[in-house]
Amino acid sequence: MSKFIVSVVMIWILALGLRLWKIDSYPLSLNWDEVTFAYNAYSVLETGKDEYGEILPLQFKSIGDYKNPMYVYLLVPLIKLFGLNELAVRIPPAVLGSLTIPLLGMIVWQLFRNKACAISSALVLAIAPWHVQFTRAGADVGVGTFFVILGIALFVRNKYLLGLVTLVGGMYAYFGERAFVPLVVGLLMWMVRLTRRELLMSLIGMTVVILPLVGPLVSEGHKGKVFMTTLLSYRPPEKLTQKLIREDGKIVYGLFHNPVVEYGLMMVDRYVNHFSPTFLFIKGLSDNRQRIVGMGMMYWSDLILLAMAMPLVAKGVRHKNWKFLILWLLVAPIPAAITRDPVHARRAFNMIYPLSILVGIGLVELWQRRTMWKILFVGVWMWLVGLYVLSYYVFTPLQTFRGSAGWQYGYKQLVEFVEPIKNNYGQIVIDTAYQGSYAYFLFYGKYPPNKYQPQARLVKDDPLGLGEGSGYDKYQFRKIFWPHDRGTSGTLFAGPPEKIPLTDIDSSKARLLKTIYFPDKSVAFYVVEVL
Amino acid sequence: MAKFSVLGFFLAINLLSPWMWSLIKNPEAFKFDRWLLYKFDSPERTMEINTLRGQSKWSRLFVNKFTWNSKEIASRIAETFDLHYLVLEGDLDLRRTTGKSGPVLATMVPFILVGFGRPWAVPIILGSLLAGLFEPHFFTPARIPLFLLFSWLAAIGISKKKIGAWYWILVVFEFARFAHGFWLHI
Repeated sequence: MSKFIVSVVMIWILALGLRLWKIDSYPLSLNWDEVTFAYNAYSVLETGKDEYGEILPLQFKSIGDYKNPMYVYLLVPLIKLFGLNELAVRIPPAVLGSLTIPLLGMIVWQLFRNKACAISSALVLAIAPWHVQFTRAGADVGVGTFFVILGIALFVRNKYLLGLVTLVGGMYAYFGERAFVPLVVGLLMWMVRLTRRELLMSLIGMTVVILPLVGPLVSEGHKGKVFMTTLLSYRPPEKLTQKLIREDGKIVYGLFHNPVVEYGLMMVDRYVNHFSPTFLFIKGLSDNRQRIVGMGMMYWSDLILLAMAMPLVAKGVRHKNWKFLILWLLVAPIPAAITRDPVHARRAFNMIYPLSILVGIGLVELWQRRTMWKILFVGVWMWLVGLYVLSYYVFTPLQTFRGSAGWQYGYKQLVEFVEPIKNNYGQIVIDTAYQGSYAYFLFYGKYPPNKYQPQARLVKDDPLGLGEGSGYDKYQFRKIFWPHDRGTSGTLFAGPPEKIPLTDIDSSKARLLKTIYFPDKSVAFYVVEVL
Repeated sequence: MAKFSVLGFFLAINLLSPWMWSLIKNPEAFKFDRWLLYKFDSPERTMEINTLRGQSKWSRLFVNKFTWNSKEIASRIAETFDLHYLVLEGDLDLRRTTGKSGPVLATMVPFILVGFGRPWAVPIILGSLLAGLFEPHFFTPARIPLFLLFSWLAAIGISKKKIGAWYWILVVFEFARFAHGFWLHI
């Protein structure tokens, strides 16, 4: 075996280790995306239907977010094998995500015929915080990205039909790929002029793969999902519009505040935010599920390596392979740029691959410098990797555990306490302040899907938001209003302290059974029985 | 002649630049005596450092005043190259921006890139370091020398490239959009 292959395999083992180490306990808990994916897979495994009784669907209604099918179906055999637990849920993104690392090495080798660059790019990707973040947990993006990278790798190895078909397959795995895949397919077809026969076969192949998805794509659920996620649902507040018209007059308002200018600028703003040094290298995001405390999505040192790669980019930019690399990077944030969030690491996840290639090229450049620079750089790099590991396992879990924007810590402990005593009560009410409570009770309670399906009902407070299951058997999932609910005898309540204030519990009428704490020792849930 | 046209473009670009108009309109917001120097021992940062250091025995290796202050200073330096600040939103203080456009016109960015060459890298890096000396994020006054440099690069870029009329229309539109926000909405 050549040294090159041995190096790539060793990097892959490192990557797999980084993605599997304590995967069931870091991030601290499953978020509701992961739980709902898994329960739907469990439902398919047990009954051949989703939680609402739909037979083998190609989109899963779930909490009203109409999930993609690929991850659900990949989970089915894993849940059979490992059971309905954290490990089964997180294995697919971890294993498939780690496989993108040798695939990236292969892409670099095919594009630049440079083994050193291929190895260094794979190494950079293997330890990239951005990549580790979304391939350890966070579900479908880690699955979708595998199909995209596999597709590109096959295409650049001249397996055009197989490559394009695999890329289109990625559209079954993650929503962002539905915007990204057509762009990257266009880029690949621009890079390689296919013969008429190859083009025809590719078009037929892609059509055959995409055809079953047409129904879900034009469904009301999908349209709603697109509407609520993208800028299409944004409307400026009426008061602001009236103020602007008053100050501008209708003509000036029409010239500078028309939808083309306003939405165009919003998209440009979102697009450029993904290239912000603060986002990439220094602070990252404030969103708890995407955040790594004290860091950006990449290491600071990557900035230096990127700068070192720039002269080569400038030199090579006339060649198609370099052009492809740059255009890959430029189109990658487009799915994120059309959505409502100002910056979104998950939706722009495809950026990490061309960025890793550029950083890898910079690393090879650095390796040709004096030994002193190499030692200095390796020292800084190791320090940064150490900071990242410490942040991932210590700092970040202590700041990102709360609520649906974070990792929704506390539900597992709540279910483990409530399930054994549920028969003592006529009714059990769980507050929905942290969202997704019904899914956690189904998941950790391993509630039989054939019993849940006839009871499944999704309730939405906001038509543009996500929903909640309303309840099953004795369980009700709703907002607790304590002044009213404290009079409901024979009922068990569980909710956050702001919903069940301890000062309002009359010990002759109600009893605090259990307090569940967050990792920072603040209260997550009070479990109270009304006598 | 070429130098003269670069100088002419340089003056014109500065005249069109939003930062210049903010400076003319609200000079007191740019006054040097109001510049808040970076605080190495600010209570918030000290608290953050102490909290993180208490979370693991390894924390002391990675989290200390030196590393955390370096990160904060680096973030202020890096903000200079954040296009969201530079061309779309500008300073956080509304006396120094319209909030709807940055200190530099977006249409000038391609020319800055065209005008950029290796010799300019060091002055740009040195110019961006100045922002690290001050406490506020996205602080425009500390970046004025750099914006002058950007204007010079854009002037070189414009003099190098043949530009279609449509692009000048875009420049005028962008300036007009800024000007209408500047005079009508703030």
